[in-house]
Amino acid sequence: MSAVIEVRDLSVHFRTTLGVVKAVEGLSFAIGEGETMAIVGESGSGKSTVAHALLRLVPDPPGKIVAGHVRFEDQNLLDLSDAAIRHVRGRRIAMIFQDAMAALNPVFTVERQIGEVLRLHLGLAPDRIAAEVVELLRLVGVPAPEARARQYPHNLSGGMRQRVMIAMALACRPKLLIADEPTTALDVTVQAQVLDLIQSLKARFGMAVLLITHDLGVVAETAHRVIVMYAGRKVEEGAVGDIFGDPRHPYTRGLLEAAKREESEGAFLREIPGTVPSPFEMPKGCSFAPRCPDAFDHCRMEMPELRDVAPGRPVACFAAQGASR
Amino acid sequence: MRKTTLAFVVRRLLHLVPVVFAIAAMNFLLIKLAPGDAADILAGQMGHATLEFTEQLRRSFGLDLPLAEQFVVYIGRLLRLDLGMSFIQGVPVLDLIADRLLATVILMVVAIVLAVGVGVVLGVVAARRRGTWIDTVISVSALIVYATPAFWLGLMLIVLFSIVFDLLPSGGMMKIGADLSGFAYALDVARHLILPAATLGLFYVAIYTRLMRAAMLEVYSLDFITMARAKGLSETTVAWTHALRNALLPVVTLAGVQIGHLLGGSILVETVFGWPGLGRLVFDALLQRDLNLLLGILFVSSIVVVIANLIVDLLYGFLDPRIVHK
Amino acid sequence: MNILWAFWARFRNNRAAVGGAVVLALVVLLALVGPWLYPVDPFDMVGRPFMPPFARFPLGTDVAGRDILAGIIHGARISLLIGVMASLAATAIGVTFGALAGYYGGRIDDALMRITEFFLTIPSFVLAVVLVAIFSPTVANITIAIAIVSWPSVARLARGEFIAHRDREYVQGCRAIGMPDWEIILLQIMPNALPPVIVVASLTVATAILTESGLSFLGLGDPNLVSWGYMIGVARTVLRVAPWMAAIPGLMILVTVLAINLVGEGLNDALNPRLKQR
Repeated sequence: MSAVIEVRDLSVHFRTTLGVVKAVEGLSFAIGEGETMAIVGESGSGKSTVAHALLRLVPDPPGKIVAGHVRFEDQNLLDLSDAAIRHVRGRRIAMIFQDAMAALNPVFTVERQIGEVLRLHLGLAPDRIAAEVVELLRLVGVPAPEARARQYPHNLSGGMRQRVMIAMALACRPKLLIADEPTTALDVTVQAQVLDLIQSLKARFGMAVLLITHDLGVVAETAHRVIVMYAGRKVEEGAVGDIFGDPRHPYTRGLLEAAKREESEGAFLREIPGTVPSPFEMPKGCSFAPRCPDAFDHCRMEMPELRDVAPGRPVACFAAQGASR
Repeated sequence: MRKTTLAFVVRRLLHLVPVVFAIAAMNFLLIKLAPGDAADILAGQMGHATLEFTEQLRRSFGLDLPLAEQFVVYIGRLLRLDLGMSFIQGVPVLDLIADRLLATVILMVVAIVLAVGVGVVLGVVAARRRGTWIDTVISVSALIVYATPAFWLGLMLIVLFSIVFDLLPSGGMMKIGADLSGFAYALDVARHLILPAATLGLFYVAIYTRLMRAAMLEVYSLDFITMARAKGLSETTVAWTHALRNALLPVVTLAGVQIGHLLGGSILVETVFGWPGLGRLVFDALLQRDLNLLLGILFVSSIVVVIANLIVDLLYGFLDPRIVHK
Repeated sequence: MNILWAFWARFRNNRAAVGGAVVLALVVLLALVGPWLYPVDPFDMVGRPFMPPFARFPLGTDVAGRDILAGIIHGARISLLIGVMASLAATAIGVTFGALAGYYGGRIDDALMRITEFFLTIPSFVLAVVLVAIFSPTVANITIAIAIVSWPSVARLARGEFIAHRDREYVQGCRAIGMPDWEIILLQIMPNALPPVIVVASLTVATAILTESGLSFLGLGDPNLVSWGYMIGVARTVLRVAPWMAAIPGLMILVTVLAINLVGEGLNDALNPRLKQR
């Protein structure tokens, strides 16, 4: 399986008045054809920044992609001119966001917003656009698509807005879909529907999906491989079955524990004790060490590198790598 | 959708009634508060100042009746569009106003269209080129113009364009003596309109530029802008289509609200340029101490503002699809 | 004290605001000590009319041979006096209306807002002209007229502030311990609502000065006093031969109003620091 997209040593920094924030540091991964890759982490882990960086949507200032290589369709996306990257956006790589209400322009109709992509990338004539929009809405399961096309975002329910966003993303049959927390803002019942929709469309069009989320349940249901991020770095990666069945990094273990407890205890949200360190006060050594139950002295002195503890299972942890105490 | 729009309009129109009534009441109050009344003025003009004669006049005008009754009579006259007589000019106030209204409307419409048009464009440009020298020049110019008294600006423009460079006429609405018609007439009026409209509008250009810039910057931080970029739209399209439509809303609202302000400004601008409109009429009325005329103009201009506000409300409902569906 | 120091540090950062403050201070200085340093009566005929600046008199003479510099100095006094007094009055009225409407809400709010909206419908300058024309032009009447057309904007702002604060926890706490309404409004909420009110009040001084100059340009100024607008009005007929007579007083208005606006915006930035990064 050849890689649809290959990221090498991606680093994104933000310049703020309080200092430089290393939102993403040295991240590498690849997504194969038809594969769903999930990136999980708490807020502040940098996962959303990764999504934005692939399409060069990181606001500059204050952000800047300081290093890295993103190979997609024989090009380095980070090297492309502005015109060239715009050619990729919405056409070869599409992105959907967490809050559909905020991501849709409130003063334009659904038809206008979906039609924009069709007009820009496919050069369709206006009469054909109307028909195509209706078809797309039908494809994503929006009832009465002709009427809905002429409505505004605030006329639609949350789930329908998310479907509209998916329709917009699929309009040009992209090779890669980046979904940034697509279900977080939705009701539990609607979540399942939207996930199913993404799965079926993915199979139908042979898309690869990069799924950004903090919800492990979503990961378990839809992803093939998972990357766990903490404080801007990848700390573990593996197939979903391996990660869930045999988590090696203490942080991953903590996340899974917390998720299990949440399920069993219902609404009581159990978290890993401690908080993500402030980006301005990163601890020396492993960033997770202050919260880590398995941490020992060496952890606090040196940052662990990613090393395969099993084929295709990189982990950045001294304890997992079997270093002696 | 038609039905809700109609209901919307009707509701707005009904709101007008108490407002107009209040304006009439205020006008009446001012008439009564003014030192001396119609009888005094007329008696003074005639030269007969005997108390008896003045009292006779008062009775004939119905000015000795209790205030409440006088108010009812006043409302009745207003409903018949009778704004009283200008004692100085001996002509009904309404006639004088009707004569001049069009000239002022033309001036105001041109000024506001200019102001919104130029202001919006400059605001978008300044927002897009935020931090560059273009932005600085635009923002600083706006600040300076905003602090400039309009009437002085008009005078300075006359000095520059009429006196130093003999490019534009220094006053009036048309060339005196020339008997033009049709297109030549329109062109002549247009030439005379340039400086006054620019003077009146420049102040508002400054306001709308700054407001548009601020609104654009706020809109730029919203998620649907990132979404638009993610769809592959160019920065130009993002700015002039997606961002502008949203940032336009506060500017249009403000423009509507400032019609009254504009009317006040037209007093000064028309005086400076001798433009034969309502504003100039105010100046003449001031010179001649014609209070009846002044109050008539106050009443009419308030009504104009009320109507303009209604139009803006409707326009806003059209621009922002979220409003009508309340 | 710490708050004041932080505010001052933020204000100091804004170079435009500091520049404005310096210029404003100079104008105030001119108004205060001017008549003492340059004791010329602006109404006195001191020389030939139409003398240009930098000749015998620093700024020349006007159409009647009066010293223009003296006119500028006295105009500064009038403009600043009327501007500040009108703004204070407008702020006092506006804050009262706004505080009561915002705090009590309901019918009181409806009634007070109806009145406020009504005043916003009447074209403000036209009303000011009519008021001064009816009640004769004196400094007091002009100040009152300007205050009457300026208070509604302050009221709207104050109302917004009080609405925002009335449901906050500290207010609820005061009510819980039985504090009387007037104390809550005046001593609890008001200090918090003050910053934006101060900003609006300072910007109102600027508009008051512009309004006053417009009124005196039209001949509605106090006839016993020289003001900048009056000087421009007088110079209007001789624009062709002596443009400086109109240019100089107008520049003074421009510079003063600009300085006040810059200071006002500086105050705004210093008093309401907005978070610039997410």
